[in-house]
Amino acid sequence: MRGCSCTRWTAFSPTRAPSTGHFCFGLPVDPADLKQKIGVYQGAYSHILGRAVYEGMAGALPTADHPFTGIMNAARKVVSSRTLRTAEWANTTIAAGDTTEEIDNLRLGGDGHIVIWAALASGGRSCGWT
Amino acid sequence: MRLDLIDEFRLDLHPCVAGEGTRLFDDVPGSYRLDLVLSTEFSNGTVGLHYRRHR
Repeated sequence: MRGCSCTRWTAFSPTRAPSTGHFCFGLPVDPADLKQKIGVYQGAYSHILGRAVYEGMAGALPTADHPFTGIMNAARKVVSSRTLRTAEWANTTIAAGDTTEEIDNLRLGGDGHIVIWAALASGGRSCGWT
Repeated sequence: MRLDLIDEFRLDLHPCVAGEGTRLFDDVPGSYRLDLVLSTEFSNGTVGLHYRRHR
């Protein structure tokens, strides 16, 4: 059975990408931190996103010059939403059914981990990304 | 968290106090114990926290 790993991601903005040298709270990015995240994201069987996170990421990341762009474009993505009708980002499906059943569909039948992208609506504001 | 479907958490603790914002966890059970798996200090002062759900 695959494990579900929840990672908190405040917001995404291509203009504040790690390659510019600054990220959340204006802190420089530690390459070791980036390497650790890339390992977790790249090694995931699937990525689960809520609608708000999906729309934020899908609106910027697919064409951005960002270390996660290639990984997330290629990754298997599932948007957990009962309101989203279509998902244009490559390799994305929408899960609108019972939450436990939808998660079990992804967990069962293999090993590895699933990344759940969590975000806070106010996170972007805290980072000055409004 | 309410359905207890999450096995682990990876959180970044930034050395900055926002002073406002949404609660990190909301609508959660009264008791939700976690075990620390790993904490990693990064050069920018951020600490990567890796917790696993206590089962």
